[in-house]
Amino acid sequence: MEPKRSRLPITWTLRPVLPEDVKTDSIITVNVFVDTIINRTSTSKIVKSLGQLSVINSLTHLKRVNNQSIILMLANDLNPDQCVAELKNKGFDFDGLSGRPKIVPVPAFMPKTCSQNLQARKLWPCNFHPDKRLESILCGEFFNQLQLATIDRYMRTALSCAAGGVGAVVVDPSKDLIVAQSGDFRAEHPVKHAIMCVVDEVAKVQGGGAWNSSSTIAKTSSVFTDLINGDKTGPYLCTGYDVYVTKEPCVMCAMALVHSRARRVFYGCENDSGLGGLGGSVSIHLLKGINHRFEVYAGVLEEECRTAALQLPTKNVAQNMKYTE
Amino acid sequence: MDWSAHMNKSLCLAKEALEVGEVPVGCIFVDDDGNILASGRNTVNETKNATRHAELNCVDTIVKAGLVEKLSNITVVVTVEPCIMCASVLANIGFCTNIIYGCANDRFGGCGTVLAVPGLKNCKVKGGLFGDQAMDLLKQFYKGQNPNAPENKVKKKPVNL
Repeated sequence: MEPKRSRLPITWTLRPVLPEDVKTDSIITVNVFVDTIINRTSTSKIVKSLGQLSVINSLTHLKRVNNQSIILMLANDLNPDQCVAELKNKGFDFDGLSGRPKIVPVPAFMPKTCSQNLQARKLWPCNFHPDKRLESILCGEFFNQLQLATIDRYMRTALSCAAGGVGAVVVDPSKDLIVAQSGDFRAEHPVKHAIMCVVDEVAKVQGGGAWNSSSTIAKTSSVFTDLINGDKTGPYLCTGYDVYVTKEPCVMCAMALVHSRARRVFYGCENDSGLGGLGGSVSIHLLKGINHRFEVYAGVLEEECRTAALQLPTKNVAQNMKYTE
Repeated sequence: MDWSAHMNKSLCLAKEALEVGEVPVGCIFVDDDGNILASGRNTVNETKNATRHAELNCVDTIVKAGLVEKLSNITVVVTVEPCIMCASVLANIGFCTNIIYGCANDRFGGCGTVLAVPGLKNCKVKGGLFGDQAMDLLKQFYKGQNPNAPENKVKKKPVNL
């Protein structure tokens, strides 16, 4: 997919829309009792017998031993004397330990990122395995220059049909082809946001669709229709497709993309209506319990998209791009 | 007001959907005098568009009739709790002030089950009217397989017991 046209320099910064517990560097802590190992040769014996007591099952993300300190158990509301009494009661032998445990705050959960792990280590070392994909997304190296140029190109196409304030393009990344594109027609129909229109255009490519359109702005790729007609298994909704939209989808549109099984969503500027669905008022793509998930990236051609969003759909524009029922 | 008769109408629409292999959800829009202004059911498989839920088909009817700006105090009677997408439409379309649903929607419910969508405070929401019947229809549907869903590409590994 080497682009033939000369590439423009990328003037924007891609921002992944990630869960709060990944973005943050602040560590939630929990108090534990920590004792000092006096006789280091007993360390393995102490670790083993603590393990058999299974008093710290919920803390498997923590290294048991930190230098000469060892985690005994969760502090809960106990004082050090009660801790010693409880462990002795369970048959634990304080041989090799100071027997004077202290309450220490440690990370309550396993770090999700290298950056969180750095913070967590200041409290206590963790069993942490970095997620390489997530790390490259976080440090902005996940997409190479060629991929960024492709994202730029498709967002420019979305901008070209954003006469109603918002434009959307659905792309099959495996073929590097546009499946469908659409402008925004909410001036004539409250549901006809660019995303809802483009999803229907994709349905038309697959032989379905609910809305008739005579618009030249909303269209499906004939090249694509030919390709699909030759494909016996056929596509299903937007499975495997990337969505480029100039403005952050609202809650309705974000959920429409979940229903449609979109693969990834790239948007330009944020939705400041209070109804932003992918990072604004809520993050639909991060909701627990939803049966489909996709990655979301914001900030593509942000300034250009923000300017496009200012072109409110006037009556004339709406008439020029009329959907016909 | 007793919405039983209206819910029965929506249940009939849901049954119709089931008969043609659609997810069985039915919906009607009712005005203050009990008149039905729009009725709809799921047409997702027919249109190959996953957003063609019963509620949105009703909205299309209202738009075609040119009534969006003219209506107020509309009650939406729907067999299943509107999904996040549909709840968002109903909460923000302006004329819907009342949502009556049958069973909750554990996977996508936008009236509080999965998410209470922004703007929902514009509507009074009440669930549980003939919820068992609505749920029975869904169970009947999911017993059969969705004919339009693709084959699962992940081959399940045999389990060594």
